[in-house]
Amino acid sequence: MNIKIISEDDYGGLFLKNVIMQLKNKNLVGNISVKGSKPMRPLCNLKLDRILKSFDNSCDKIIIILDSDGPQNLEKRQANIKCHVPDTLKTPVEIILTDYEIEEWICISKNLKWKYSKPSDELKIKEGYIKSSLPKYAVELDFDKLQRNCKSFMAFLYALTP
Amino acid sequence: MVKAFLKKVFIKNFKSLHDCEIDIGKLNVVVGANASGKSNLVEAFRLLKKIYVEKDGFPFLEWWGYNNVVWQRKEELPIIIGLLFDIEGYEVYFETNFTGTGGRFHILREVLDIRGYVKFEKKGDGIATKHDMTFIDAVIEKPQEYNVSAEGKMIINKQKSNLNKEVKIGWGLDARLLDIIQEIEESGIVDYFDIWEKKSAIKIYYEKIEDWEILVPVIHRKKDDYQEDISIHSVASEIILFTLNKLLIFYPLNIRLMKIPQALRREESLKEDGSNIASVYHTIYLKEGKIPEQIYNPLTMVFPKIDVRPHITDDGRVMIKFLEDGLELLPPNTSDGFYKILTLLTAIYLKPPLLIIDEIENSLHPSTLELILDTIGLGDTQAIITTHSPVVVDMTDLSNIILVDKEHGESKFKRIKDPEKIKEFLIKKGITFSEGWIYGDLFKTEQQA
Repeated sequence: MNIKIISEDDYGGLFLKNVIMQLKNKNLVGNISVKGSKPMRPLCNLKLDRILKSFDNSCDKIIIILDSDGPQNLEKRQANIKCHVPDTLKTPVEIILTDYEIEEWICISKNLKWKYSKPSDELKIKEGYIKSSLPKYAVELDFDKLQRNCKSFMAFLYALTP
Repeated sequence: MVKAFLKKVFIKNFKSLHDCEIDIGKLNVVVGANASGKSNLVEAFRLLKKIYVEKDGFPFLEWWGYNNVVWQRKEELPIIIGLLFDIEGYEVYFETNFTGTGGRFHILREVLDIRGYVKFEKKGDGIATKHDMTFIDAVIEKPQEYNVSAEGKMIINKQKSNLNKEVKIGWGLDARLLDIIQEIEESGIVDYFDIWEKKSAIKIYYEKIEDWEILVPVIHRKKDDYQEDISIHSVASEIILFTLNKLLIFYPLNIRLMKIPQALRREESLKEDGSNIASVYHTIYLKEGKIPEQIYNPLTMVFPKIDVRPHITDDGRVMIKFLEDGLELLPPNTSDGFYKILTLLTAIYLKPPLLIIDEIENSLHPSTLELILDTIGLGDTQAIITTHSPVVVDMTDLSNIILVDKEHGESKFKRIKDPEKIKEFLIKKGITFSEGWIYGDLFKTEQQA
């Protein structure tokens, strides 16, 4: 299956490509090929519509994976993104929202809690994390833990199923 | 190091900036037509740097004289630049007021105002201090709320009459207020009295220099491996000087010069035109023993097969050598984009307190621009970026946009009052933000802008 990804930023896009590679290595997904990715913060402007239209018919599925910055924002963000998916699109689109941000996958894998901060802040404190190193963290994910404890990861895995 | 966050900039009588007040956030993208005044904002910061960092005796030379930088060539007017910072929760305002009339540069007035506490003002060779009595009164009236001891209350009460007036002390005519405050703090003539400790871990001390009496908050800061108490006005002057010193302005980058090998020397800050990138990159490379991740990771996302090494030439100069898929590229064969991206990533790596980039889009592919803007946005640095690029505009949150327009020859800087309303408006119209800006009159109507 050929997919295209829309993520929060370029670092997120490369991270997800690397995650898919790891999932393939562990036989957790089938033959997935990432044909392209584009950063798109949830600015709620028509740029998302334009990106989706240009992606249309060029792959089997488009996966939008963005941050919620807190579970309380999930519904609103979902609606914000949904209204930018053109009705005329022929390619199926899956929208996935993390509870906070994609770094929560890393924190869950490493048993790091982020009760009073964001997952990325927790990683900064504990591991001296910098955003540009996000793609390298794909090899450190614990897929067993993520499958048990992370809704957005499960949704991502589901989206990778044809 | 205590951090300062620039909240507002005030500029009067500088070129087309007749009377401007600009709110500054973490990321500020300044958009406007040609000659609207975007670059004048950048130049105002360059002028500040010339005055306070380079200590240029006649900083207007580059503009061919004072009459070319002052509003409508009215030489009788002074130029005023004010910066409002947030320093550890304190509002600190620094203002400088200067002229170059008659071919001579001099500073007419400088102010350092720790709002709500104490204000220092230098005019000529005298410095006046004036306390905000609301704070002093509040402490005397409710000492328990500030954890003030009985002794502390007594000292403050006794000094109240002295604190409630302007006290002038003499200083050199050419001395700068921020330097003077530093000098006083460092000279050891400060008399510390710890008289109370606020719940917020802020102490107040009483400082006495002959008849100059100042009561200011002290903040705790970690210095190397020990804690020290330092007065807020000293911290403020130190940080403002540091901000101006480390302020990084690209105006504009000169890629042709970047390609020329540079004299080998240890350089840790980039020049305005980026021409010393080879030297700075070499210094960083030696210091880190490798290409830092903050530079290498984004660079290899744009150029996956690239390697960048500083290289010493046979005649002892330093240049940057790019290797693409193992193939050595010498400067004449190297794309301008390589140099531009490397310079921007190096600037972000250096973490200047404020990074100002004029026309960021030049030489950059839209996808690369997105990566660079993301990297700036995710870093610790405050940034002011001017642009004409729809790509930059469309990937910027509306709350980070500053619109510049010229009205009757004056530049006016505006923030979008209600970004949510604008977003709804754009969706209804089916246009992007940049389309609304470039083709429409989106920000000309009062209810939208």
